[in-house]
Amino acid sequence: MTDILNTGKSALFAFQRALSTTSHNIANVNTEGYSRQRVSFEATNVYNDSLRFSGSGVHIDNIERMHDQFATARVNSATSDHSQELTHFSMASRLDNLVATDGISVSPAINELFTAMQDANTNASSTASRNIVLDKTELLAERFQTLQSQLDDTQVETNARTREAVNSVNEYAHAIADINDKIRSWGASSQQGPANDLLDQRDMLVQKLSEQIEVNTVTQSNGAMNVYIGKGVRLVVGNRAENIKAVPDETYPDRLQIRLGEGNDELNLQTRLQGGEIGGLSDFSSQTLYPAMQALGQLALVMADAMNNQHAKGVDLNGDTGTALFSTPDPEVYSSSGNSGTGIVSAAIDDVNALAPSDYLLRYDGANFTATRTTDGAQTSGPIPLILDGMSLSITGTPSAGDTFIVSATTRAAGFMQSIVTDPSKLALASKLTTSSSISNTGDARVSDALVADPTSAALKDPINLVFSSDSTIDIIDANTGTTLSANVPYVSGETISVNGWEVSISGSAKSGDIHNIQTNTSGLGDNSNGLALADLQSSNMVEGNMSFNDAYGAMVSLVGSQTNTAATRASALESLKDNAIQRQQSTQGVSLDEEAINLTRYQQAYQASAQIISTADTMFQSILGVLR
Amino acid sequence: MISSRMPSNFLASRFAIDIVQKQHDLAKVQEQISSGKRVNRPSDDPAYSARILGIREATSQLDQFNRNASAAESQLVLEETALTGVSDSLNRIRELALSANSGAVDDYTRSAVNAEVKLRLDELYDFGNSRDGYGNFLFGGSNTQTPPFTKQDPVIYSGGEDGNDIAVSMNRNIRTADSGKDVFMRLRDGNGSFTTASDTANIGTGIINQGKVTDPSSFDATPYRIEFTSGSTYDVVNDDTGAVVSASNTYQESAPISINGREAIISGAPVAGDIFTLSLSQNQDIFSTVSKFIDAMERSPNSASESARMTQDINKTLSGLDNALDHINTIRASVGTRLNSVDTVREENSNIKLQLERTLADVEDIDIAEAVTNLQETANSLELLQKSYSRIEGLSLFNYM
Repeated sequence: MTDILNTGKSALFAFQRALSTTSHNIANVNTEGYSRQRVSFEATNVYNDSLRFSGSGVHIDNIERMHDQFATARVNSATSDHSQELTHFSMASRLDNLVATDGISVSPAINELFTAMQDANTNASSTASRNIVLDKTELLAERFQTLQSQLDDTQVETNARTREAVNSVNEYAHAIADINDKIRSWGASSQQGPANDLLDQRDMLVQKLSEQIEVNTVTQSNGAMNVYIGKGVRLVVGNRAENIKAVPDETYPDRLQIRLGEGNDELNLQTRLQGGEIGGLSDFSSQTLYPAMQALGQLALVMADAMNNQHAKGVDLNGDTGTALFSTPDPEVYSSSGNSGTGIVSAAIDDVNALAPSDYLLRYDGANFTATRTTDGAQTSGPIPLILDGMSLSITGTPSAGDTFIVSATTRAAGFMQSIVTDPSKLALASKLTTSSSISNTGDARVSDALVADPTSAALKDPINLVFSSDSTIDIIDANTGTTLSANVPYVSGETISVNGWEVSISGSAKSGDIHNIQTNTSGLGDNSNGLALADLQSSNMVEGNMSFNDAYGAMVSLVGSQTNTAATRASALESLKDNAIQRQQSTQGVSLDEEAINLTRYQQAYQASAQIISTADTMFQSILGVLR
Repeated sequence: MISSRMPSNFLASRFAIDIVQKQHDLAKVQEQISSGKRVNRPSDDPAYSARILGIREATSQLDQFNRNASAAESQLVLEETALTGVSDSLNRIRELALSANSGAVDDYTRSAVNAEVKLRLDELYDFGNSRDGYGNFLFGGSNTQTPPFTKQDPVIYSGGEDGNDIAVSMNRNIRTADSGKDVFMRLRDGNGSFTTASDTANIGTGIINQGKVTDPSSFDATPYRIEFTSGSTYDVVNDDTGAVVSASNTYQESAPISINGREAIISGAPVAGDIFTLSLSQNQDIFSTVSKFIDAMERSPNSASESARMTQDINKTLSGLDNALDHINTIRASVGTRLNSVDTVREENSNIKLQLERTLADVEDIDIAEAVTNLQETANSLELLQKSYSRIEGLSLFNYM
């Protein structure tokens, strides 16, 4: 009889516990990361009354955590992948919204400058139209600066987000280590069953960690979980968590580097981290932000150089040679803080058109310097002076083997582009040279306008007479000194004659004694020849020999657009993968209220029935007592 | 049938994701409709976004080219007007020269003619120093700030040698300002190859005509003179060297005299010692042609030889004026051609621009009907989603307990 009572009691306790677990499930229906729990019953030890086996009730064998660790691992990796692309997208879409916006885009400023130039060409001596050209050069420089500063701001934000992500990683790592500790001590008294809710919390932390970075986990036999980030970097081992930190790069002061550990054990993780927000920020920097900056800088340098060169081929309203319209910065060279030598490298641009939109990592091996182009890894090596894609490098001081430097010509250049001519009379629209065919010539041949090929030629301004020594030969004579520079040059109508850095051609039938004269332009200051040549630059393929200025800007816009677009497409595909993974995970661990409703009813009924067992036992007891009475 | 468990909150979060997605789609279509553009930021279509910039640049360039064309047109119309004026003046001077070219003209008539010619000469200078709408000198070439012609004999030209061009299309520049030197000064005197003259010291009444080149292949670049050794004989002398080319030729009035591929006709009665020259053509400016006429008109011929000289000078003036008129007309024709080009180019530019705008619209603009249909569909599906949520979310076993 007591056995019935005991059986009833065990059932009552078991179902009470089951009801409590069901309630716990219902209560946590909206708890993130919660895994539903299931009570598994087991018939209590049978005892042998020598004749037969007889049951003695029920006990709870285990409160099982319904969980699929493979699904969870899948969720973590999907979360990390998705977070990476989403972060790249969210940063890139900043630029996406910027680069083609009317008030910020460089493209309309380029158009406006050339439009103003064309207008000035229709009335080259007008101060008003010259002023507009200068306003537009100013506007263009401002646009380059503004866009660069927006890109710089984006970099600052990227760094700030990286620091936050690093902080989060550390917080999660410590929290996971704490839980590991608790689980381990809990495990010692495993009578009480597994620490289901702690496991849920830990899984949730790992998932949050996956949003920041790619994570791999290994669960130890003692229940502790070891956490690795990126390519096998140990973050949590048992109850010990490492700290990672974001510190300024030793060679690029404005970029961050992620490191682990302290002092001699310090480890640079830059190439070993991937996935999550940290991976996304790094992708954004290397695939979208820096290429955009470098393309913009290249455009600024090439455009300034082309305009300046052409401007120097003309003369202004005072008859002076055109001075530079724009100023641009010299390449920046950063020395690594880890350098042990005293060498300071400096770089100068020799040929803007040979510049590549890239930075260079420069390493000294004790004899030679090796420069590695960061965008494609192409290497150039040799002793200083080293010639590098349109730059020449020089050095002061003595470098030590292993010293590194970063050479950066384009990355920040756009921010320093400045318009420097402010006086409208200084705009050199007129040709530097003027040509005339003498009115007393008996031949009909005429001399063309002079093209300045080399504005730096010292003898450029010497007046030259092209005198026909016969109907078919020309003497080239310095009109000041009377010196014959070359005699009896064969005359071919329309063929270019190059002297002292300029070029002309003579066309038509010539007679012996005819004189054609080339001299500096002193009176034809309303001339627009150089203005026309400046305006022509708009359609010339100046950037990398195959793009106009606007094309080059368009290529940058296209780069930003396609990076944003690709990241968005990937993020959306990865989001479905992540949703699928979560769905799979949830199908095992999620709480279904309908299911719990059924369990509630089931366990309640069982509980009532168990109570009935006790009541029956009582009745039985009373019956016996009644017999005795 | 395999059915996996469907946890309660999964359904809700699934709905949340779907609704957010639909709302995002709706906002996107809405943005397209309100901006009228399919591509609102580069990522909407990265390849085309660069092309859109290119097309925008090209259209703004074409607009600018058409503005340039208008500026060129107004310059050229002004130049044409000035040239028409020059041509009218020259014609009037020519009429005056013809009227003065008769033996019966007296001093009074000559001075009347002269008075008008002087006015016409001023008029020519004024045309030469015409200004455009900006106050720039039309015929100053590249020097637009100083008056190109200073009245003086010979005239002083202070304009530029090169003209100015204006770009009217991608590959085409139109010259809008001609150098005054080319317009007014670079024209050949005589018949273009050589020019004839009678020596001012001639005593006879011989007059030489303008002459012509009869055989260009034997025409040599040598000046000659015809020296009369008597009333009926003459020598031909190389004017550079003084060497006699042929001696004691017989003079026959109005019979052509041929010298190395050229011929000239002398009429009247020259006497011994009279000299006629056949020098090579040089450039002679329009102003000096007129000035020489004025000088001639100042004279009052009192003898047969002086009358002959007057006739000779007037003939020379007439041939000079004819040359000038031809020259001005050639330049007018060139201006006319350029005006035509401006028109053609402007039309081409407009056509290209229209084409580009169409391309831009194709690339950039939305098909409004399609977008509205999209909007409707997206809105419908969002509404359906919301309805189905309220239906499904209401289903719970707890409702029946």
